Amino acid sequence: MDKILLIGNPNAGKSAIFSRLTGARVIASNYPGTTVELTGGVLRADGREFEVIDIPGTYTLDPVSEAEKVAVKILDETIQSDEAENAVVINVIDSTNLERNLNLTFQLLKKNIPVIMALNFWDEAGHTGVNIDTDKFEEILNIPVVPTCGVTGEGIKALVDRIKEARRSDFSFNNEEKWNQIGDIIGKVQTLTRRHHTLLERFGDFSVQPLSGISIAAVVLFLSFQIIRFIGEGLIAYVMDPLFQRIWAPVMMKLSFVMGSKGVIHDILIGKLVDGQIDFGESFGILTTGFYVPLAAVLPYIIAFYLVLSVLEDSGYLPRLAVLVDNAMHRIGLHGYGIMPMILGLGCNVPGALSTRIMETKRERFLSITIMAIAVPCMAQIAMIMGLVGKEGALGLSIVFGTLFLVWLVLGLFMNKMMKGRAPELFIEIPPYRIPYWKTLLQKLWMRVVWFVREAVPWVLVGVFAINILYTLGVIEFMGRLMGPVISGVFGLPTGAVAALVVGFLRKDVAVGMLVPLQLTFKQLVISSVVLTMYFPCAATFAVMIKELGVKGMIKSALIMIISTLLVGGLLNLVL
Amino acid sequence: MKKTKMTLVDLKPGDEAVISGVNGGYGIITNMENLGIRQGVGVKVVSRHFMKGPVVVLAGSSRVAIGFGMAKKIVVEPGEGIFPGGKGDG
Repeated sequence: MDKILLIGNPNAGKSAIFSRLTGARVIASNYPGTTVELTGGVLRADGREFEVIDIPGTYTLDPVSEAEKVAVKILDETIQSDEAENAVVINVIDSTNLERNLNLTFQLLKKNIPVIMALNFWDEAGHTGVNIDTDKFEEILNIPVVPTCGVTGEGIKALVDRIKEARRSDFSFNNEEKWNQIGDIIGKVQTLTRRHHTLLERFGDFSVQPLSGISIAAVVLFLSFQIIRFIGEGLIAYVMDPLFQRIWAPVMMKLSFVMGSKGVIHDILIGKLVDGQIDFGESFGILTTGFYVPLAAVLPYIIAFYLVLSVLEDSGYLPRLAVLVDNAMHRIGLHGYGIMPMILGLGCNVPGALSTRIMETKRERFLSITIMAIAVPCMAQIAMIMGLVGKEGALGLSIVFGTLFLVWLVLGLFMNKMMKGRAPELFIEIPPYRIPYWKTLLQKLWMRVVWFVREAVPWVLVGVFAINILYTLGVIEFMGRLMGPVISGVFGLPTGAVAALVVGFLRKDVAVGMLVPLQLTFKQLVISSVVLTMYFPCAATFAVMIKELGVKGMIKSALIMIISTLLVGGLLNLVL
Repeated sequence: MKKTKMTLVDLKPGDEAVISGVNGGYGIITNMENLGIRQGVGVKVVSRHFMKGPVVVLAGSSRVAIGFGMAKKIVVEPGEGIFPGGKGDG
């Protein structure tokens, strides 16, 4: 199949162009050896079929970060492959920012591959008083230049029609004189008209000022939290719960009846009946609790979380948050961008851990992965804690999440003091605020939700299955006796909680679910929620951590986890 | 003795200046160039963050956040009217 590579600066609007070019079927794949996500789709035009690949944004082909290395690697691999003859690069340019974008274009034109340029954000350039003479531009660069607007779809048809005109340019430049030459070209093709700045721009600058910025951040985070709760709770109450109670429960009751309402197989599949009925929280069969926890209790919050996250990402707010917290993050040995793994970790610790690859040093990566794995609960776990502790009122939730935040802070400060070295400097572009394109947003949300279902559901089923087998074999009882002194002595929890700790190695949401039948007191609920978050990452996160930190790093990290859990759990037991 | 040179961290929000040099090796210089921070470019300080926080500047038409330590490496020549009421005057 013919190939189209979308290459451009970060924030040049590549994803919206990608969504416009390709149909609904989009595949996200991780490039081997990195976290960087590639998206691929198919475009049919001129009777040809193109595989369209959205390459991570890069400022240069002389790569600095991991993401940039991937971009260059894919480009070079394509040029060297047998498909090189049928490959085309669409260079997506931010028309409002020609100078910086042309730097990449210059480097691209040196590569042995046909190029066509999309002058994106054409409408925005017009609003901001930037006028570009595309004919002259084409003449100078000797490649097709097409004005586009990814969000409205303007110019996309022309872009597709002219793909066949993409060519290897004979344009040449002198690297020493590069910036002057870029300046010359801009002087020839671009005219600026005076204009007033837009409301969005004013607000944009307002949100990176220290005082107004922090107030805005507080409002944004509060609203995000409220929206996540609203959508999550709404989906549970009006969609998932009715679905499970009215449709799935009767089916399961019939199945239970057919199987004689008891027996080993019955208990593994359906679980124990509570008052002769299935209780999706407590029965603990694979087909009941095993499906209910990931799909009905957790998935609604996952959808809500990733929807809000995608809006924050695509609107351009997150880099501003990074600027505001840069100062504070330096105290814990990270720079402002270190907030990203923490935010992603709130969704799921796995992408959180993977995203630490955007960091420059090994020290930062160890630090951020460790404090994230210890103190940042994932959405699956938060959802379950909200259900369990939230019933007792807001106080319990504040203690649980307040404690975790303190742990995060103190541990960060402590590790920053103990480890050699210091945080590198923040250096990022602050893109203008932009209204997200709904199709890109939905594509991203869909890919993330599918990823969650694929990753989480199997582990939940394994967890429920394992705990049933371990109970039957008496292993849990044995471990309860073995670990009793720690569990009840240090944490003040009943030995029954050991089963939750065992399952916590597999999935944290199921682990929290196992606390339900234990009839814990308020204090015990709070302590067990905190301990379950901290003591060890779930299997999926553990695997990623070994890959990222190596075995030695993981052992170090695990020791820090165990010690801090014992300290914090013990302390809570004394204080509360 | 020559007067001490001003760096980006000596400017206040709203101040304009032209970058006269970057104290750093090839890596730092290229890195900055890629985001449009290089010798001869006019910048305007958008915001400063207290306690050695980052400096946000407008360079050309893009805004860049620069950590305090890095901003200290950027030598500037203060000036006026570099952004004449036009693009991105914020």
